Amino acid sequence: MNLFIQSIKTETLKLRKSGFSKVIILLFLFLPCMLGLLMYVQLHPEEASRLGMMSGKANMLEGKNWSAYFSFLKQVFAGLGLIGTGVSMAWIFGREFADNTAKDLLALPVSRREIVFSKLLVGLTFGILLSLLFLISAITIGLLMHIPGWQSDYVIKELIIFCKMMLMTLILTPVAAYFATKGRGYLLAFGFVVLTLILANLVAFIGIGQYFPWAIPGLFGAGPGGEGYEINSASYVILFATGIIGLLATLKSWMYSDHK
Amino acid sequence: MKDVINTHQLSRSFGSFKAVSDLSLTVGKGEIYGFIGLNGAGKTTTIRMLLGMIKPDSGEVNLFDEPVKPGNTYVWKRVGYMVEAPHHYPGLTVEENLNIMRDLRGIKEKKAVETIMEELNIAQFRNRKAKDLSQGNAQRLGLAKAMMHKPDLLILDEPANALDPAGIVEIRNLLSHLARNHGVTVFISSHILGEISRVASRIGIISNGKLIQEVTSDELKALCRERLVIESNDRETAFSRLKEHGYEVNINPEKQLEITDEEAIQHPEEIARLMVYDNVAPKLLKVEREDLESYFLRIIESQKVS
Repeated sequence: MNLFIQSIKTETLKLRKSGFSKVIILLFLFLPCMLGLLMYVQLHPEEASRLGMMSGKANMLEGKNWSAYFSFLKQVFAGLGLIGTGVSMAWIFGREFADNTAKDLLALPVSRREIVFSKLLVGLTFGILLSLLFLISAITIGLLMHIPGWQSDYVIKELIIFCKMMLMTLILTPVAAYFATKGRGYLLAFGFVVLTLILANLVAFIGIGQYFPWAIPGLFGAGPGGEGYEINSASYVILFATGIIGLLATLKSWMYSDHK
Repeated sequence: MKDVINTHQLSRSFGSFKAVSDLSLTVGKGEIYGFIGLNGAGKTTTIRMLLGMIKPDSGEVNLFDEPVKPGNTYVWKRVGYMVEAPHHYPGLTVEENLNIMRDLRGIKEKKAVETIMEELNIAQFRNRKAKDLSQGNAQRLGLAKAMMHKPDLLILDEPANALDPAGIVEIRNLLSHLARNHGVTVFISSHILGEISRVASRIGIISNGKLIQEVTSDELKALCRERLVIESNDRETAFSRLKEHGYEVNINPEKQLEITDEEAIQHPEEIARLMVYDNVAPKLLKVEREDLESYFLRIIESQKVS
């Protein structure tokens, strides 16, 4: 247990000191600002056009209230969350192969299983922090802009939906860890994460998104949207099964595969 | 002597390529075992199998009488290793890289990092990021990571790479000291054969995945051929006169005369006397002993022929 804690500590240090974590944090801060900018245009169209801003983009927001703001926030997070948490997990695992440091982790008193779990734990925690950073920044910006229609009950309901979306997204991240391990670097895993986002949009568009794991968090966040756009109990089974398969495949790859 | 490393009929193929074949070797406590072979002979595959990084197709590896297998992490407390070129977390400093290894090895001694930095002369670079280190200092950092926990077994793949001559001597002395005074077993592979012959107490030669010879340093001295090298201003006449005296004379690639006759090697002054009497006085007369490099090439060559 002590070595497991030490392993978590070292994984945290590696992530904290990396340039990658700083860039991804900036990205998760930048997008709420953009979101706020669009809402600003929506709230002050005359001022926005005077400043030369494109008001067309702001029409993506279907209203000038918190409901529209949260709806857009969840849409953005459906994509950003998949990319951000997936890429972070891919980087945590893949950098060991890209930097050729994986071999130093293979014959230690701390087991390979503990290494994998500590990486997953740090990756998941980082994913939660990024998601909360996104959420808190977006809400703070919304409050500063005095978006009308704040109702505590409604906001709490939306926050719960957001947190569930976040957990659903995080459940899928071990698959990115597997691709980073199998690809012996982060490039294959990065490619995989981008591909899942494209496919998630495609399958959601043709109405079978509830059976594609990476489309499920987005559909959940969007809420009831008619036949073919609602998730069901099979969706949850698929989501959890995908996460568990990703976890087991990553463990197997670290513990039993050849490390040439 | 108790075995620290024991492999039995170890084999591993990659597709149709047999990287290691039926390799059985034992290394005892306090031994420095030099493991040499050409590129692709199977050295690194063997080392990775010793460390459980590659599964053998057949055979087994035991370290300290414990089988190397997934989940058996106990054994790694006693092993330090460096496989191929050392790599570190580039954005972290020397000290942070060592702190990580200290934590993962569960070292309780707080001064362990400080001590090993002093021992390997990298304390002055403690705050330098690993990506900014010279190759030599990156090598020292790799050795520091391998040695920090004072292991009973050190498995080192090319530890002298990128080190300057002073660094090579320093590491050689350190390894000899650890083996002699602390009973540390060292398994070392290197292509710098002169270095191996100076430090190793036993040498294993691997070729095409097979262990073709094992010799102790004393046996190596006996196996390395000696020859008498002669230079004269009139090489042709000297050659024919020595032949007339019944010696088997060869001309080496440096156009020097060479005699491998035991009697001539034992008494070169007799050769000098004969040559002076024959008016072909030698301007150079020396007994040369074959070094590990020449011996290794001769053995490898004879393997190819057979």
